[in-house]
Amino acid sequence: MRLINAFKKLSINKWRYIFWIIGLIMFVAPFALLTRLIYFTIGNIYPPDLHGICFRMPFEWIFSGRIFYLFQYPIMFGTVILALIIAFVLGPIFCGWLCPVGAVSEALSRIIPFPYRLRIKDTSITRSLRYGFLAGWIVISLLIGLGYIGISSICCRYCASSVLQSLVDAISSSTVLYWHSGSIIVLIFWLIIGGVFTVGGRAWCIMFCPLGAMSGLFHSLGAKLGFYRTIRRNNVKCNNCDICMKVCPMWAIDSNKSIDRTLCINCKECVKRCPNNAFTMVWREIN
Amino acid sequence: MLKKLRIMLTFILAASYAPMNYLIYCNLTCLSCPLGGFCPYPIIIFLVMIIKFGRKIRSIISKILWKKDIFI
Repeated sequence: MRLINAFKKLSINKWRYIFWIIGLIMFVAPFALLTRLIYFTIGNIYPPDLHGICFRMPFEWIFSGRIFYLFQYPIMFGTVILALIIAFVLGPIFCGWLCPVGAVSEALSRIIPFPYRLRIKDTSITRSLRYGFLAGWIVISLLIGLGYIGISSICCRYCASSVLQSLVDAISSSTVLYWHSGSIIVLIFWLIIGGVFTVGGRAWCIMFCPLGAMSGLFHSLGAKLGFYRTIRRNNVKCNNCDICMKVCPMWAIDSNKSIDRTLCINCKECVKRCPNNAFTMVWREIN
Repeated sequence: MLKKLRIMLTFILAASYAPMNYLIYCNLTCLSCPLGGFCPYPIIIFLVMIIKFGRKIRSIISKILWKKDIFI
């Protein structure tokens, strides 16, 4: 009982950290419980690991016109569609609460003290990095679909999910999956430069994740209909201490304390850490 | 105006990453690499990162050195 009370009193974003662990157990082998459950239900197809449910390939299939793959891999398609629907209605909470890739890099980023970590302060620059990459990625997907580029996928060349799975496999079963130049870059950028040495540790999510970028777009599109849960700042309570800027893992809060909806993942770090309780989570009202 | 130019330039640079990735990528696994691990690909990315964040990295290093009083 005392433990439960102590847990309730914790001012940190405790439920989010619990969901990180749930996300790891659900998607990453040797557990991969969600993948195992789906495979158990429909019959085993592939080894149950993070590769079993890819969060990015369905987008590439759509943009390259290979729609028939979506019927061939309904689990991947279903997961991505579900994540987008949730992003549209409730905000991109899959990215903030369940995604194991972002969870690992964000957890690692807490090792280094704040002054020694990098971040881009201007949200418009962060946004242009994110959607610039998405634009280039869509162009390459289109070229693959039109047959101008003779490769099967661009996603696998910078996939942080496969690197995470390879790392976990190397630790848990001493097996080494495929490593190539792309995975080394991802390992350096996702976990070291973009993870440990950036504020929030989600530089890879911000810049290179198509699901994250699409969820952000759906989030801001959902805002137009006005029924998603969002974070609102109380100008009266705010004393410009900048703690929200320092704790936001997506660099979505700029120096004017305005929140960029295309970057925000509804992680509630600003809500929990603000000393003046200036941020609250509310259902958005239609103006 | 300058800010818009910066945003556009960032957008173009970010948009060029996926095509660059396609051009640079060698299609080999590291175990079968003829260069024996001396891969130019991470070096290129490292150089880009150092150019982008050089000033910040320098200030971080100087902060670390100053805090730990290495020079005293």
